[in-house]
Amino acid sequence: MSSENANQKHYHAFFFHTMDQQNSSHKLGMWAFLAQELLFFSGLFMAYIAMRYFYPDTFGEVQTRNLLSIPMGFTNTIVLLTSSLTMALAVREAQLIPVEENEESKKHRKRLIQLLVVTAALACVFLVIKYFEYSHKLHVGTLPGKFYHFAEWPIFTDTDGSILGAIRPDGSIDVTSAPHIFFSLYFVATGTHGLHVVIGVGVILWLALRAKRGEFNAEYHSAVENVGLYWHLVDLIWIFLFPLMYLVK
Amino acid sequence: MGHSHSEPHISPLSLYFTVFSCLIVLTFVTVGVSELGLPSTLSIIVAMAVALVKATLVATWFMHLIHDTKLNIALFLASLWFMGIFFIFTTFDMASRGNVMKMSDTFEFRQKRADDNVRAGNVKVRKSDDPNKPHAFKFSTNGGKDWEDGLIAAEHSSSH
Repeated sequence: MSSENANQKHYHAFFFHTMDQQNSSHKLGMWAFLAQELLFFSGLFMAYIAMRYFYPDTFGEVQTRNLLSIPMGFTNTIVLLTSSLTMALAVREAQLIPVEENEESKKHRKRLIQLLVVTAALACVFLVIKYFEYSHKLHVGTLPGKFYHFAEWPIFTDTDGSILGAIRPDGSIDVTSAPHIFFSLYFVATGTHGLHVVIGVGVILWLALRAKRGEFNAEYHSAVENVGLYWHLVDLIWIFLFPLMYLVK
Repeated sequence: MGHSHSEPHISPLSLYFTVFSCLIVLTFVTVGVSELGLPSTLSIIVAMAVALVKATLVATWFMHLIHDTKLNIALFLASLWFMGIFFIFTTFDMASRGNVMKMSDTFEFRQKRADDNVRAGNVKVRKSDDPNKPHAFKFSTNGGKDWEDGLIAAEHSSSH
């Protein structure tokens, strides 16, 4: 059995008996990481639930005042879904690269690289749209917590600096409305997600570089598969973030 | 000993495009339903149901769970399970706060504290100088910093 090692490919680590075992182990490790990522984001989603519970009026107000651009959020969703498609297609191309070097392997490798680059480009489109959204918010003052200074929906501050609530047009304080907390949540949730997108862009481009070097084939492409899993998770999180932040009153 | 692939399954192109089209359609549905203006609770349930369907499509076919070992599926579902426990029990806690210490963190308590502070003049707010509008307030929109800085006129007056 150990005589197999002499003929093992360079991408087959010696401590795995078969490539099959190696690939399964890689994938299991990735799923363990994804499970962690889900729990990581669940903290933010729980903060959302808590906010909805204690400050229910905020969300309707945000929607009424159009403080979050639904067209931009919708476009971002479509962009991310498309990038998920191109990523899945890239994984498929990697699966199709034969181990021997021939015309077919060149063709599939070229397609793999192209699809990875397109995925990264779509992710950058997402980030650009996010940049426009954030810069608008910076401009009008709908910022997190104590930095909030949006003139058309002001908040009251206590003498010790704690914020009591938003101000109704008649001057009374609405304690069930907390735009400063809403935007804290918005920036942290979408910002953390955006950070994951940025990291994803870097990793995907690194994959494209590795692909160009000819490191992937049908036998070994677990890196492509696993980054694909990561990317789909990033997409999944946005699928939930978009309706919760932008659409639901 | 030959090598075997645990995952020889290469899905046809048409599958990916079908799943993608469903995802796009469901995105339109999500936005469309939100435009209907349903009551808040129902709106959340519908939005989350649609998101769940999209998530299932992505997980099953884009993430290849349908061709995968049960262990990976179990891992994924396990994290969802623990998320569920987290959400449900924390919500129980939030919803039952009034049971132990009445009024300690309810809307009524916070509103009363806010109004008391306003009446006592503790908040950075000014009453209107107009005798015809005794309840109108001028207030600062940056926590009173403009008054600290020596500016006088507030950005927004509720008498308008």
